[in-house]
Amino acid sequence: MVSKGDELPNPSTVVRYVGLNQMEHYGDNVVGPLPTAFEGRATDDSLSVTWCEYFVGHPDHKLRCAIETIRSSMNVKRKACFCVARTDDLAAAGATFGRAPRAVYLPVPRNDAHAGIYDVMPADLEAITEGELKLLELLAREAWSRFLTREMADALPLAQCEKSPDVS
Amino acid sequence: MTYVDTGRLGYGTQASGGSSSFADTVVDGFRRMLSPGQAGRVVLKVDRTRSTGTDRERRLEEIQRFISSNSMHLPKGFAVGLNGQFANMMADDAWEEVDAYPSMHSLETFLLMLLSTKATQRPGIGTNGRGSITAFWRDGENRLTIDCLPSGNTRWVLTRVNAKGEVERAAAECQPDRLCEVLNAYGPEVWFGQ
Repeated sequence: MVSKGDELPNPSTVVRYVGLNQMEHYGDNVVGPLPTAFEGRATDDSLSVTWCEYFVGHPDHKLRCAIETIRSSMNVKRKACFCVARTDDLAAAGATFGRAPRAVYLPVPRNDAHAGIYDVMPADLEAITEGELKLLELLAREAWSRFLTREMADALPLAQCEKSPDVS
Repeated sequence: MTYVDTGRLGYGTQASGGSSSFADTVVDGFRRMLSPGQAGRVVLKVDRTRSTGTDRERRLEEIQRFISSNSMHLPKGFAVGLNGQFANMMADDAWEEVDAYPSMHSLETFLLMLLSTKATQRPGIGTNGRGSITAFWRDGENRLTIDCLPSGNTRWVLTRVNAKGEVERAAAECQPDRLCEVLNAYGPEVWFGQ
């Protein structure tokens, strides 16, 4: 049973909302996320994500539910994307640079499936180190390389979006 | 209207250590245009008298006017292309309301970066959401990302497949006029097109 503040089961799948200006794109051709997509914000102590396994069903149903939850909790721009990662891939990327990323269940108002990734953001956004820049690049190129545009997300099967019985 | 910013000072004169190219001369001239005003403040002359609309529209207008006024320093077609890219970047369907607008200092850094690298291929552009302008180029698996910061520095990271097929990653923060030298080890012509 996973409760607020617990680490997510590993591996879990997480989704992050990324605006177009933090995606590598040339005109309308979107290639993948930029390193800046995973810097986070100075006011956050963890990288904000939505946990797919909060929901029951087929992986595509869970992913669609996570995306719909994001859509209902914030102002989602038409050209923004949804980047997808597995927590074990995040952990492996972090370990390459001496980090130990961990995903923690942190529900917030309007997003009961919200989670935060700790020990993956730069320590100081005004003075990002060489190692942190390389980690951000590795995350963008590998761990978070899967992404969905609005059209791709809309093509996923719709589901009831029921909460998993394994979440308290 | 004159835009006055109390941020960083203008640039010092580059130490002369070799032959000077036309591009170096242009960079130097561009810097002198951005020389410190009274009390060490950078003074950018930006005409905002025709500005109407939202703050975002006004900033876009400032950006486009600044690029257009410096178009003679850029490769042919760059200014028009960049102005279109900034318009797309700041359009309603792409711009995130929580992001800070690209700062005019970041724009100076961005243009200096283009001049000092002698890029003949326009980059894609984005922002880190804290006032920067992010430039990026790709050639197959090789990617270069340069974040042009309001501080006047650039923060860059690259992935490059070397002649042995091995993936190399490199990153650093430096002044835009150092980029050409520090990126030289990674064959930057695949991105800059020279």
